[in-house]
Amino acid sequence: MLESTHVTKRYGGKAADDDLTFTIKPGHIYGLLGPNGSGKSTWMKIASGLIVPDQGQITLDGVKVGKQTKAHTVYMATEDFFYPYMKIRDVERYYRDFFSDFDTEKFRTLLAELNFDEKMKVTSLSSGMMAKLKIAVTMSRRARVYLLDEPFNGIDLLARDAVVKTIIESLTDDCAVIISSHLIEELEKIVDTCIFLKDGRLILSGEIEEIRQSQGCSLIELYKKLYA
Amino acid sequence: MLTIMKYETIRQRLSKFIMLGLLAVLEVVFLIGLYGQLDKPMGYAIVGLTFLAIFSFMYVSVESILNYNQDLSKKSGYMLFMTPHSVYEILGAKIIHNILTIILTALVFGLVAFLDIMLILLKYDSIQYFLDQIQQILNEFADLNISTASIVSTVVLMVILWISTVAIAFLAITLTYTFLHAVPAKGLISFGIFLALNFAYSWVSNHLLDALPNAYMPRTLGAAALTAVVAALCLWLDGWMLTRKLAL
Repeated sequence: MLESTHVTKRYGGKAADDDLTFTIKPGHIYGLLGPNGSGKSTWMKIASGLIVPDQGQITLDGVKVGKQTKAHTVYMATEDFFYPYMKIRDVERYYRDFFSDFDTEKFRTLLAELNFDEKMKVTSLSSGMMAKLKIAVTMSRRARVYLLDEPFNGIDLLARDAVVKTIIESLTDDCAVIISSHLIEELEKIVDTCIFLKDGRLILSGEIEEIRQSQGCSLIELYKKLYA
Repeated sequence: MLTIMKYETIRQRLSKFIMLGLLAVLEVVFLIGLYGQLDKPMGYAIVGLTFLAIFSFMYVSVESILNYNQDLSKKSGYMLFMTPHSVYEILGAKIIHNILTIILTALVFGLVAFLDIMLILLKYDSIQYFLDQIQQILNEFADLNISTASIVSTVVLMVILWISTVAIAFLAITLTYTFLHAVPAKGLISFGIFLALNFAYSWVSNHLLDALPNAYMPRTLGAAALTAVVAALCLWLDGWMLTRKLAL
């Protein structure tokens, strides 16, 4: 489905991503792992069409990532990115206007489950509420690929559980979810495949169970071993 | 592109509401002064309306440039660039929106001014005198060969000049957040680039217009052609830099 082929991106002579080649298949939740500066966000932004690689390419179902694929991929940045003027209902309208795959009914159901009032201003939300709103609006698109950049950053345990539940319930056989995070304990609960990056390079990838068996340790122990 | 323009309007609506609110207040004061025979409030309202028109026109002109700067400097830029549109569609929509907003603002204030003048003329007995004055001014225009074509040409040239200014401003802002991203005085440098490019555009434009026959049509077409080239070049460079060098 999503093919990353020799993707390289440099900033000021330093490679943020360096020759990244791997495939994302539908029906899986991927963990994109690595410390700060390992190239996770850069790869996600390339995959979502926000930036262009210096070398290599990413394709979605054979189509090079760009304007056309933006309609089928969704990128959720780790930062708060809604316009300050927006209320929650404005966020809904915005996504509905720009993305034909936006499921309004699903979004409203998620809002109700997460105890949101559509009249709330986005600037008044706590970090936990903001994280839940971002995940609700992101997962309300019927996209092929969901790219979630550090979705657990700065939120408490209850908000994390709500985010995890929303992600798992949104997964279908024809889509893939890719999550980057430092919080390995959280990721280990939900991802089935891992991609480890270090200094922009791919150092290990595979299904979690296979990795656990071949490496003889848990994901957390492996993470420490790889990056310590 | 229409959806992008719609959300540009929504993002800029607060300033428009403030302008319309102030316009309504000043207009009410003007009407009270006019029909209540209160010269002072009417005078203040006329001065206020004049300043409001000038300020509104200036602010509306630069607001989309300020918004574009926010799109590149703040994380809300994701909202714009994640949409299924190319950077060229995004930039094009912003420029068209800016031009339409300026025209609409000019129409609103022009209409209000026209109606207020008409009310003054109807209120006071000297209506015939004012009408004679206007007729005389029009006659003088005719003597000077100031035709409808010349007025249209001037308006078109002003719009063209503004398109080039916006295109160059967008280019300077794009430079700030791409190639100059890590440079400490990037804002100052890009402002210098903006001034230099505008100077260069004016220089080329003046030389081009001097070389053309002294008639409205060829001069307008010449300026339009030059602006089209400058705007297209700026947009192409913007798009290239945004796709290659922007780190949102």
